[in-house]
Amino acid sequence: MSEPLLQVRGLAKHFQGLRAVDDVSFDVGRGELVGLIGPNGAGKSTLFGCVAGAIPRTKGEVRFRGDSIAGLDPGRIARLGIARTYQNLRIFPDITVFDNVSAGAIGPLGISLLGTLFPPLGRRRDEAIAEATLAALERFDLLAYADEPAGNLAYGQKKHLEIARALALQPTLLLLDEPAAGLNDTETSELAARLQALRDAGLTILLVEHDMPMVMRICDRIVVLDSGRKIADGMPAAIRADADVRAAYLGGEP
Amino acid sequence: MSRSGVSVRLAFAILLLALVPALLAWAGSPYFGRLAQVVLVAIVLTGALNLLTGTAGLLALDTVVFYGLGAYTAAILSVNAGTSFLVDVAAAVVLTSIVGAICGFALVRLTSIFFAVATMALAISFHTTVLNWGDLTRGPMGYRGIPPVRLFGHAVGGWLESYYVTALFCLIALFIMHRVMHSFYGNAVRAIREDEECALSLGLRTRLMRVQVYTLHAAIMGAAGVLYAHSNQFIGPDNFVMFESALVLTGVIVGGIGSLPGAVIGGIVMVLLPEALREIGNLRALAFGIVLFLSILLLPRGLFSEVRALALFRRDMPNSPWSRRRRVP
Amino acid sequence: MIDTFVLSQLAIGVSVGMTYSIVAIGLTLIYRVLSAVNFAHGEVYTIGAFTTLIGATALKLPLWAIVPLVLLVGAAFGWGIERAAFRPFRKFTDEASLKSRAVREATLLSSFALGLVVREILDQVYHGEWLAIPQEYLLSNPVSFGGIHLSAGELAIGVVSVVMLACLQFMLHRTRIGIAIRAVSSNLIGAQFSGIDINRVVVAVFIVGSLLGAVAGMVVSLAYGNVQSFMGLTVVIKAFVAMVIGGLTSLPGAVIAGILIGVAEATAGIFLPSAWTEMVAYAMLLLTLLFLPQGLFARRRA
Repeated sequence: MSEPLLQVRGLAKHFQGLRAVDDVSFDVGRGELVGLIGPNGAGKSTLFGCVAGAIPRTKGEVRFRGDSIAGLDPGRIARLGIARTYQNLRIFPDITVFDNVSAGAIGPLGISLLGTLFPPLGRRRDEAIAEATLAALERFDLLAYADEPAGNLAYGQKKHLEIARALALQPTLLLLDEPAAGLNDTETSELAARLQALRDAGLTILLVEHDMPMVMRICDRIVVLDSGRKIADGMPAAIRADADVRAAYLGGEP
Repeated sequence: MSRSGVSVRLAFAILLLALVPALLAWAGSPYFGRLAQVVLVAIVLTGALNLLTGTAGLLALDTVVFYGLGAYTAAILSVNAGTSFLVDVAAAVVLTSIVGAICGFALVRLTSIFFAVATMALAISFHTTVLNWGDLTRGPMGYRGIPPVRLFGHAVGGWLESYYVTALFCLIALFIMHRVMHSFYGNAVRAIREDEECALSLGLRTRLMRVQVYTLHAAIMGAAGVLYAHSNQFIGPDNFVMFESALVLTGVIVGGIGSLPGAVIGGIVMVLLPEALREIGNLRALAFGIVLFLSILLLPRGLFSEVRALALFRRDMPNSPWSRRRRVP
Repeated sequence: MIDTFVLSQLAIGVSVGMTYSIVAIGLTLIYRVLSAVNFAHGEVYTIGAFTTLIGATALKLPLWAIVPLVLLVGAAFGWGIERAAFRPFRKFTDEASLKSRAVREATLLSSFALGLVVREILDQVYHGEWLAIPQEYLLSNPVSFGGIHLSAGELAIGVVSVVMLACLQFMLHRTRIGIAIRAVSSNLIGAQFSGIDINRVVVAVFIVGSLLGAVAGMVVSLAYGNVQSFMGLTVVIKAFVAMVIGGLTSLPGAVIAGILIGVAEATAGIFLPSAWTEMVAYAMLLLTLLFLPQGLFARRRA
């Protein structure tokens, strides 16, 4: 049995006295779709930030494929195979949908000025980038909008765009920060189906979400945070029944 | 539709290599030939600055530094060592690339306005150095007697031939800039401009690419400086006051930040407008201040915006199977 | 024992440095509130000097009448800069819009352009010459103490600067608008929720900074006796350097940094020809940006 893809051990992030993340440990296995939930302010996005390298951790270990990635810069981490989206939707509104997604494909494949100036040198790489971009666009039915400035898309499509862009990196691990936020029921079901399809195709996904029904439905495992600490970790059914989780969300014995 | 990008470029090349020289020959005055060359140099400068300020989003006022380095390299080498034009270009490009890489590496991590002011400080320092290091640069008197363009031992004859050389180099420079801007590389640079932190999380090497763009812009400006030195045959510190940087920046803004056609338009306007309004003579600086101010206020995207330029040259994305696949439903 | 010449040069350096400090304060105040740089600020200094010139030559006013004139013109000009180069870009006053990169860069350029226009107009009107202020107004009597020889004007710069700083401190801590300025500088959202009108604070900051700058220009013109249309440009760039070295948002930092620059220039002036002393400030700027980007006295934002 191979080791878990992502191992978080004793991760902590303190902000001048506030323990945003406090001694959190959990694993994400290959091909798992893990949900990270908790009340507002539980530290979920901070945790994401630490794993993705955007926020320097205070303490603890993060291992990806067995190697420590704690302390590496976000670019390095992305090239190692971890892609992420943002809670507040950070796409590039002024450039086209195609260009948005290709920005994701370019990083891991590498791009050089020399290859750009001398086409024969860069041809193969350009084709690889285009392939990855098209594949990601197709997965999310965005091919028809390839030429549109990304800012013109509907909100739900923008969310999909951001995920498509992350996919263009051809990552091993996908970190999604509230992908269903602001989506209506239909859109959420679509998203859920797509995520499951991605998981079935072999992608490992860790997602932060507030939409309980969706999380319960699609996740293989759920990790629950409250005030920076992990209070539960297990299969959806177990989490649903967990008293601590109830207390965290409802603030007391039910 | 898809041909539009190609036809624009073709039309421009024909304009530069056939129509304009024909007009110049018909007009028969070396003055217009010189003017045309100044316009071409301005186009190259505006285009290069546009690459840095527009595509990469780094507001910069250091044009005169690399332009001046190139010009003085050409002057010093050709006057004292009798080097030919191509050697001057090579030397200038090497020098400006090295200096550009160093400066770029040091400055690129500064945020927008501080980068801008740092480049301003560089520009002023350069001007002061040029003005005062008389032993090297002949100080305020300037460098006279720079030989005209000499290619492969053969002295380029009249002003018309000189124009052709300048036009050719201008087209080469534009081609390079076009390639960089309308490619996946350019796209990555734009992404870094839009949201650096996000671009980093996508695995793009933000710092490296910014330094590369900075170095490239420096090298192109250095080459432009050589062109100017040889076509004008005289350079002086007054050509490289900080204000000239602001002038080129105005050209970029008026033409359209991030758009190469815009930069071309900006460069042309920048040189020809004061020529057309000859009477205002030394009100040039005032006029440019007003133009810059109004531009930022009223037409921030410029005359030919980046969005239009990107759409125009959409199909020029090199080697992309995208244009083939697009037909597939 | 240090040579009296050196001492005097250093004293002059301190005095010149205080000019940079005063102008830097105007820049710093604006930066604290808007996170933006006002490149027309140097022209406030120039306008102060030119108002003195006009007051002395054309209007033939006595010195005590010139001072309020300078204050008035300075304040009006500061208000004008804000209106023309900054207000048009301020569509919303929430923090993200107020301090967005686009707005910061746009106002940098618009204020730069405005400053350029003002400089060039003055240049055209006065033909770029250095114009002299009539002898009777000048503060050129030599003054010595403790081995230091200065002119009265150079001493006056120092004294006036200290007085202005004291007034500024009083204003910031004891008047309503001053407290509002400090509130907005440290916590924009909190200030808004307290009902403070951001636009009024911005205008106030420009006026205060311009008052300081104009008076500095006045005193310097009286000390050295001449004015020129470009005199503000070099000063504002050095003031900017002082602001950066001082930590961008720290007023005491800007003051100290300004003095440091002045002293550094004076020191360099002892060894190098005067043309090169110009570069001292730029060298300091580049070194600071490269190695100490947060400056000397960066305040930690809460």
